[in-house]
Amino acid sequence: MNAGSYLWTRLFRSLLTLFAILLVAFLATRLSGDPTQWLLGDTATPAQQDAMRSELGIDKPIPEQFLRYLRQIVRGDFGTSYFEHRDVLVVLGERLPPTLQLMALAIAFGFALGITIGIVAAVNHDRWIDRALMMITFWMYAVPNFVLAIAMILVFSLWLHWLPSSSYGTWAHAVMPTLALGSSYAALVARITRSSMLDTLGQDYVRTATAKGLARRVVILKHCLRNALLPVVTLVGLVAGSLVGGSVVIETVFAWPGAGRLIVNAVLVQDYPVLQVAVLLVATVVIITNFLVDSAYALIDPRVQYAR
Amino acid sequence: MPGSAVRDRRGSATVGAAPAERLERRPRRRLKIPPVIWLSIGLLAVALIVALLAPLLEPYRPTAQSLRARLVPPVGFGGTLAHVLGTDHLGRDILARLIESLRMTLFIAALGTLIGALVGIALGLLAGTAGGFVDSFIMFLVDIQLAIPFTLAALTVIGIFGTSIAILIPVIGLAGWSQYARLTRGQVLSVRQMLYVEAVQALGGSQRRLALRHILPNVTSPIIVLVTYTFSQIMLLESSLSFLGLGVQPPQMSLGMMVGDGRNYLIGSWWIAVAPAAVLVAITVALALFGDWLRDRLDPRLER
Repeated sequence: MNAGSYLWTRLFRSLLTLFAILLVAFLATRLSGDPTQWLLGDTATPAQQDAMRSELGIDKPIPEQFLRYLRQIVRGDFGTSYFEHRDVLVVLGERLPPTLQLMALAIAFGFALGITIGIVAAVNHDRWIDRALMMITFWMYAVPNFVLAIAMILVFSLWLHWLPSSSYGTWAHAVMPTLALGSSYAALVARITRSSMLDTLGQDYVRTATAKGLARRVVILKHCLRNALLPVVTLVGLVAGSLVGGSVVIETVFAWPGAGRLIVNAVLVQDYPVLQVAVLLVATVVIITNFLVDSAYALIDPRVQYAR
Repeated sequence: MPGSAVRDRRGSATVGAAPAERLERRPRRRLKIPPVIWLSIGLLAVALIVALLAPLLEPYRPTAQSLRARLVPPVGFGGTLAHVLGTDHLGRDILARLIESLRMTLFIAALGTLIGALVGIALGLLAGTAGGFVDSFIMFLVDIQLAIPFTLAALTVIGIFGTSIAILIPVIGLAGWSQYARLTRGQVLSVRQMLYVEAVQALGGSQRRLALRHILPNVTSPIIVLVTYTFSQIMLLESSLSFLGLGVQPPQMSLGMMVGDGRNYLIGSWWIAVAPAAVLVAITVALALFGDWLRDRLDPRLER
């Protein structure tokens, strides 16, 4: 299979996955029961409920409802929040910027720190500094994010009074959420960078570069790192999904006004339209990210096997 | 996935469950276990024993409240031996709650891991041996699963069906199935290239016999390693959900829920959150150490 048809197959699979998730999301909202009860309250008469049902279109057969649902989604109509009585896209849209900000910070922190640790550890392979760094990354990876968050609040907010324990606004508010969310990715990136650097450090072209008298810094940064970063790039696609899960927890701990807290709250008050649009959005982002990463990978490295 | 005969032979020889050992009878290498790993295994064993014997070890009923002994600090921080690890805001003994929570957390994680592993291995075997449409469909399900983050999927199901242990366990268990399915399928595809598989087919062995008697035993060692990873993943998923108040519900308790409860009393009564958090960290760290060591032992290909 050549790269072009691989990408088409991959695109088709991505779209199919997205469609299946739409179907699941649709069926899930139907399973969640009769929304007229929440929308109208206990005092509604059966006639009012019937009117509401036909207005919402949930008195029709399921396949017809699904088609209607798809039409609505194509038009950008994802429904109204049961509790805020506003378009869910607006509700979610308001909460996205803080979440994206937090994720961007966590990814930037994770990759900057991780790649640095990875390089330093690989260059000093099997010396004490390598072992110490690997020990640190091990702990960063093993400690659950909410435990890390609690520990940081205890130390930096309550004992040392250096940082505010919650809320949003200045950079000081962002420090602990970023560290809590990003540290496990830093650890992951560090380990992958290290092992991939060790691979490239042993390559012939690296020895050639050293032999022809290039500075060690140039060899490491230009010859090794650029090739070693490929597996690290793939990681972005895998991380995209789990970052969402992490930010749900971290936003709740630090009272960060983002989409993660919105989702937790939607579960608590059973605001299904909000929950549904959040799931669809995250799934779409993950699917697109993975598609882009796979495509980039296939285009960058012609040796990638296209068949699964 | 590149096939590796050496790995599968060696792996199963160490596990001691595969026919390969019977054929070769190689002298068993002496297993040298480093002290850190002994420590991890010891810690995990203690946790398991404590969880199993929980009702016998709890100094108080974990739900018993005592309004006169509220927010008592642990021994060494102004507390008495009556409550070794102190009490919470309702005067409930932290040690008793810790033991009960450990039991619940390990129970959910064990059952969840079992469900995920069984479903995943079965589907992976099916995909790898059947091939064709079945394979594509199962891998398609894996794609769907991978597109929705675990936490979000679990939250959605909990949002729809409510919070109860009977729903929580299968939901978080299924979070791990795709990893087992992918691993098993990949292993099956590489083992299928082996000569002995061809031999079984030539002798007229059925597909089922081939999958269960000849392929499954040869894919056990990477699966054992995966179990140690998914066990702690599932434990953390349950802990995160319970921490948010969306997992285990009172009067039952779990470690994550205790940390979540303690979060509101960090000022002044830090021990309520710190005690369960410490136990959680100890178990995940021990599991990770043990898992890494096991992987290096069973899977020489991955040695770093």
